Amino acid sequence: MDLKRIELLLQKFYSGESAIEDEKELKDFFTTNDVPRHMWAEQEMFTYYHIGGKNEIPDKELKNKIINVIKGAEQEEAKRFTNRKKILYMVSSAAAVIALLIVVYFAFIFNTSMQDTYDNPEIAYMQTKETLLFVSAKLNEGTKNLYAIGKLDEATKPLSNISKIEYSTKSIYTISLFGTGIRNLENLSKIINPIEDNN
Amino acid sequence: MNSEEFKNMVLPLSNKLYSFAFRILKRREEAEDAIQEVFLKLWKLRNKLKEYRNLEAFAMTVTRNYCLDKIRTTHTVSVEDNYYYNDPVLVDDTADRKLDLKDAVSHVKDIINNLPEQQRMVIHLRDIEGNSYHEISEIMKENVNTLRVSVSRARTKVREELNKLYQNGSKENRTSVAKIL
Repeated sequence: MDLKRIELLLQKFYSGESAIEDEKELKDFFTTNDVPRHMWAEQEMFTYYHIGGKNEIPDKELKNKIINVIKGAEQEEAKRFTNRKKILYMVSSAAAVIALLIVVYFAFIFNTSMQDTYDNPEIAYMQTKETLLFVSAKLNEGTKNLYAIGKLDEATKPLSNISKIEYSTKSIYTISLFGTGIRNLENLSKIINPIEDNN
Repeated sequence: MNSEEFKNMVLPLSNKLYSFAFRILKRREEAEDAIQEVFLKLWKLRNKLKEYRNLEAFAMTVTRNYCLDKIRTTHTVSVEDNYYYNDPVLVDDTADRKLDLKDAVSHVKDIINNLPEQQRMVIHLRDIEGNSYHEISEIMKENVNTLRVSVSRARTKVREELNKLYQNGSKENRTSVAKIL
């Protein structure tokens, strides 16, 4: 076995840079070979890594204990489920009873309270008509005040004069014609130049 | 996940989880109790277990968290279990040496047991279980570079302590040989 290679792998191993394959190679080397004395400590270490971890197995009973724990949890869950079912059953039956009572109560009230207060149906009809007329009259009085809103429209009419501002701005346009007039005056400068040429 | 699936998929992890718990808690009974609690937790989570991409890593994380909590709340790392293996290794000069496996187990195990928690867990997951750094990072919730540093420190420490034992052994051996002579 190439000891130099092993030394190199060990270097990588101690700096935390070795790959799984490197470490496997080291384990193989140290567990199958006689190694030089200065590597005995390492041999012990790799032997432990190779066999030691797997040696620390739990008691055979542990698996059974785990299964029992799970079974216990399962039973408890089942119990809690049936308890929940029981509670749901009780609550729903109580709700049904209350609903029934309410229905009975209202049925009783409607049966007893709807009684005629007039003996003669014609009088009853007249009375009703009078009441409805009174209500409608009051309703009309209320809407009369809303008529004033229509006057809002009249007030906005004078605002249409604003559009006339545009006419007056158009006549301001002629001011810009000054520019062309002034350009014509540039010819006056030619009158001065001939004098300068003569000098 | 029904109970049949649970038994087929999660229960086989018990040995691996146990040895991890044992590495953290250092005591057999405590590790066994912890594993039962961990399985109870996993059982209660069984409907969500299928969502985890790596069930084993998740179970290891649950184990780690439970054991660390246990240590934090009870401080029950007893002196007896923390006992340091200090018997020097007797080194004789005969060329062929039969390594006593029992000794190897107890020396290295004791040295690892005396490492800080983090290094203990990392050494266990890497050098004994042979997990990838990616998996370890998933279990430990720690980034890979930090883990590599931890591994490097732990390995160096193990070598250092072992070398100490060997040096003491050979020295003592020499003096005893001298006495006889």
